[in-house]
Amino acid sequence: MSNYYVRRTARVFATIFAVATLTFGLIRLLPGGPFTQLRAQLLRQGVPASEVDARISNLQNIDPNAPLWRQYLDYMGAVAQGNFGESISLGEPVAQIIAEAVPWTVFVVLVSTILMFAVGIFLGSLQAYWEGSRFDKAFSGLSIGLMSVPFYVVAVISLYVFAYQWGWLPTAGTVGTNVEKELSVPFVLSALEHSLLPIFSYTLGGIGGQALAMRGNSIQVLGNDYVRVARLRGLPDRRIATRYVARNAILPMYTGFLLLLGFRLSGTVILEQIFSYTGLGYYMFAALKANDYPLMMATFLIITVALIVGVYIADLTYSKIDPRISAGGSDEAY
Amino acid sequence: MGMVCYQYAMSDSTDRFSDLISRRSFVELTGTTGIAALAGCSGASTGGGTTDDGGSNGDATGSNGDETDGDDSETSGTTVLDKKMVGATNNGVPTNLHLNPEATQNYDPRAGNFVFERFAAYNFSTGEFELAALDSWSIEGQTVTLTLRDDLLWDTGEDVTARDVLTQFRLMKKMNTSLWDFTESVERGDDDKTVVLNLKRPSNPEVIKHTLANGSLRLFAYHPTFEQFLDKEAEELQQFKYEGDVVASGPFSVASKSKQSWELTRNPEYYGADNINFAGISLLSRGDNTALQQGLMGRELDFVTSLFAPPKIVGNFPDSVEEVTISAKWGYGVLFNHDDPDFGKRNVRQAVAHVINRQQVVDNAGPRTKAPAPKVTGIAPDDQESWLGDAYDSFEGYGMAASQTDKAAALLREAGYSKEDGTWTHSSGRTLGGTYYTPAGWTDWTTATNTVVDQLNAFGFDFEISQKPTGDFFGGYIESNFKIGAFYWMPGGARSAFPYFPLRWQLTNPDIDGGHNFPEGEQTVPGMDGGEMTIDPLSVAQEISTTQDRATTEELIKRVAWHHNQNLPILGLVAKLEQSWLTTDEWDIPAEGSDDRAIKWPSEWLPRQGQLMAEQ
Amino acid sequence: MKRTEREESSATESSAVVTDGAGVDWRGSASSSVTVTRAERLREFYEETVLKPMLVAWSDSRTRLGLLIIGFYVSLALVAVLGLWRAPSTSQAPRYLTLFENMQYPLGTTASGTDLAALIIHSTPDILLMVTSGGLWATGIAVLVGTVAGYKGGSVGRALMSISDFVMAIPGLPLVMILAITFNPKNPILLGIVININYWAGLGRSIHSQVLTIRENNYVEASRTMGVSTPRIILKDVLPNIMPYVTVNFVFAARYVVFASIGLFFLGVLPYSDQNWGVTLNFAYNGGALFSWSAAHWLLVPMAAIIGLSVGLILLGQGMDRVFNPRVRTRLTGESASTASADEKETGMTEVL
Repeated sequence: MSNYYVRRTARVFATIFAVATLTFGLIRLLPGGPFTQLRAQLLRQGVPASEVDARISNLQNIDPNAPLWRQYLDYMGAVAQGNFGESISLGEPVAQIIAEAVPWTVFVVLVSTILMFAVGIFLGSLQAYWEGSRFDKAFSGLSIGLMSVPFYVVAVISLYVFAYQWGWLPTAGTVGTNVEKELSVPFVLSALEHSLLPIFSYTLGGIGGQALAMRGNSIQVLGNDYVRVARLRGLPDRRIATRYVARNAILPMYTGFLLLLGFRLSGTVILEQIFSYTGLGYYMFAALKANDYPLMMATFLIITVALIVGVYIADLTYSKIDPRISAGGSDEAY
Repeated sequence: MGMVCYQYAMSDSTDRFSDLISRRSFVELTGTTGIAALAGCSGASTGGGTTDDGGSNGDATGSNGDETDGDDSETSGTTVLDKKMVGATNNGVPTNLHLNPEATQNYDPRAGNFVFERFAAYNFSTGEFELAALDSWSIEGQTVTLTLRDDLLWDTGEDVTARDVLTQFRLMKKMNTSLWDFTESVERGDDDKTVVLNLKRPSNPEVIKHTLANGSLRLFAYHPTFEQFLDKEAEELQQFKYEGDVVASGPFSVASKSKQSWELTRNPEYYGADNINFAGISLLSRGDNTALQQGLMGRELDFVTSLFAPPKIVGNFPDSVEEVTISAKWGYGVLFNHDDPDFGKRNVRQAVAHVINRQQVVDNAGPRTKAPAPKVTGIAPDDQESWLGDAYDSFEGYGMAASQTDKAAALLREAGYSKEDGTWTHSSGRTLGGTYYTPAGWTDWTTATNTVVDQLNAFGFDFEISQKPTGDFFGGYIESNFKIGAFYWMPGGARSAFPYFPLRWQLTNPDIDGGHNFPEGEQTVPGMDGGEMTIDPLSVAQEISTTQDRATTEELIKRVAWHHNQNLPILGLVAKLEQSWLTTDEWDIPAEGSDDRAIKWPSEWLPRQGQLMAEQ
Repeated sequence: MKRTEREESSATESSAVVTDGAGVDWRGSASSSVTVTRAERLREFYEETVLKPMLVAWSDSRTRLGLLIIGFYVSLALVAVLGLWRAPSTSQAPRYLTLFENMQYPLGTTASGTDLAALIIHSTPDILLMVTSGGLWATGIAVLVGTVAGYKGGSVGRALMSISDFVMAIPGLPLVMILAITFNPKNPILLGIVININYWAGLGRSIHSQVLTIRENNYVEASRTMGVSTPRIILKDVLPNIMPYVTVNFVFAARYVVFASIGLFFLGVLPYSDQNWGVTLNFAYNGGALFSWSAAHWLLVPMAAIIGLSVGLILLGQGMDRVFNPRVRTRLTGESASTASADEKETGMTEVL
């Protein structure tokens, strides 16, 4: 049994290593060097072309021309020490950029995912409770409707309505312009205010799916023998609802939650772009556009690690939840 | 529009600071007054803020503000309102940007243009130059004498002297800037405010003036900061990002920068400080056009320096948002690869020009802000008639508002093409078409491309559109890996008003490293008055740059322009109007039609002239 | 399917809730015909796995509606392929016609005078191709990897699952962006595959764990003891059991392709040569359609097209889910719904783990 955990943990590191390698290779495939974008940008700023050339030729110390294996070894070595190099387009240590970006993204993704589950579970269990009622039917329809609207459509529309038309909420950024970065009431309030719309758009579309899932799970649990037995035993409804039904219906969704966190991180590439929210996804997209290898690889890796850890935790906890699939137990070859 | 909180804390130069990276370094620099000021500010901004002074500032700030105010009103009589003008930068997150104009990347001209003064400026309406940091300039033979304003100071209170300018010019030499294309050496003139440029050869005064009046040339080199780079490699300067204070020569000084914004405060040492009756400028970080447009629509922004807004969006701006249009001398065109067996042929290029209905391109891609080029050559549309004079009418128009398919068909047949199965095909079996490149994300360009390609394909070309990310798009052209595609046909900006620049640019196209492969040497084209004309367009263009006589200049320009009109090194279709945005509900600006609005950029130039003031 | 045993006991009761009551025990029959001839088997297979479910499906209102919607899109595609509607082209109509203003251009026109109906119709075939290829790719690879790994187990299984883990660990959207910029895939079939390039991994994992349970079943045990070959067991005993799950997830994989591709087209990341819904959305957004009623149709029409297709897919998925699992309707409804909950590729995750 402990052997399984050791193996599973080892696999986490192996996967991270492999993904880092793949990322390195993938990003080298991108057409155009890191400077073509910069060149275009300088030209569009009205810098004469001769000067652009001179400026760029002096930048080559980043050395994209070193042999590939050399770059690879340097990169992997550095990554192992948590050093992601310096961003080509921003000229700052990547680790610093990421460190500043990560909290915002994690905040938005975490809060929106929790909300999505909480509201979904609440609605779903109500639906299951009144299965077949008009309420149930209306919300099932609504859930399907919500599932059909991509979050970026919600984002664009809510940005227009709440921020631009009504001016209730800020249109861009992570905190207000005059708020210093420190743990103070104004800072927290401002951060909350700025995150409201991203969180809202990222939550709304997901609620439908979670509600349907919860509804389905609860109805299934309600049909189980042990619930009927509990009823026969005359246990109070409330106790049945919370102890038996809710718990057994929510448990299978818990692992989905961990995984979703990881997956939703990568969706921030679109989300943060719409809200100019300077988190991981924002920088990932900026780096992609600028062919900024170091920054891209780092954002890519961070999201990857989040995913891997999610799967890992889910895996370990799953074998605890359903004892019939014992950890590594059914590995026997046929 | 809520007032954006500001603070006066740094009236003393040692307290002024620039590259605010963290809260901590700010505290170290400014001490307690600064903190108090900020604390007051934070409270105010979360409360929404008001344009009135008062309650929002804490005691410390209050007294500090009074001090500054008092100084100002004593010396100048200008009442400075407790109000910031809010604009935006779309160059990235301010903490990632800096104010070293010579750095390779991440210099933010949006902030830099307020902080550093320019030498002179070109008025797009009058076609005249206006002086800024310069009191006078004179060009005699091979000597250019520049005299700085007597009252031109750094925001430290020190004079801007010849020494600073010489340092800057010498640093620019390391950068291979265009000033040094014609300058041999620079030296101090008769006094501390005079600088002399010695030229390599006699040079066209227009070329010199345009170079000095280029909007990106700013007076930034405060000698004590920059002298260290004089004997270093260029790359040291290019990677310099200001550890300490930015010393300003312009109307505003840097107060701070954060992830969200640049904060600039009024520079009381600026020679035109009397003209500025507001406390400073905030430049918010806004990612894309939509965010900027929406910022104007919600009146979050008081100005946007330059922003494309399609008619439907302009129509929805509040009345207080005022559009100022300035000729961009830049626009959509078609780039040919002259090494291509098809598009290397003059007949094919001319056929393309005849087929394209430029008016329709404009109507689809930007009826309000674009205009078709009346003649196809390397001169900006507004300037074509004045430079070409009597010869204007004899220039080929290629059907500005029509698809001249008959003429195009005749040209193609003459060059050995015939139409087979609806597609023009060369006698060797090669069909006329291929991939037409266009940059991804430039939406008005994509519309123009769709229109052009629809027109060409309807005539019998066989094009497929390929969108490429900007970097990749330039990369493909630099490597000559294309047949035909969208590209701008003039370098743009004030310089393009002088035809020498765009005419030469179309031949050498330095932006893509000459990737269009326009052949060097002599070209034979039909003559202006019948017969033939043999011309080496590049060497004639070079001749313009060394000609000091106006009449000769005009004659040479006509000849090169004629060559371009006949031979089409690049096909110019459309010229764009830059859209710059101001607002009138809280700010006084010159009336529409005023020549004062025609200097780039109005939001940067007008405050310096006292033409953009906060309403009392 | 881990809770199969538990399910059996409640099956009768659950099926009572099914409105039509048409519980088809297709699962058992598929595994009972060891001695019948090939032709008979095929026919039976057809009846049990295609015909009956279809009949049942049609009786469910959601499936019916879903199929109708999908059918509508297919007919749009046919209209485009057969050339029954003009092709989109700039300057073909007056600019900025609104909805139903001019019945020649019922959906209105764009700022460059392009017929919106033509834009929508003529991009439908490519979108459907993309969606189908993406769905097929994701489910095909997932089934292959999941069943082989699950049934074979041992080192093969471990290896395959390690590969799945690895693939699953790569963030989807960023990966697609890089691949799109690198390979510039304009072919809709290829594009569908690129968008779902690593979608299969999560699904494969969940299929794997289902197969782990299935292979412990008595009839599989029996086949194995009888010396039936592995591929045959997988094909005959294992696959039919996971087909419902796979079919449902095909629909959700397809929906993911719609969301992801339109999102990326909207961001301007994916290459294209002809405008499609996402590109139109991008143009409308940048053209100010969000701010003006007179241009709003430019934005709303492609949005409606996207949302319509995904509603169709979701309804179909929901309905099929129930069709294939009359006895366990409620359970799977829940599970498959949860797999479709987010725009990321968590399909199957919720219940695998």
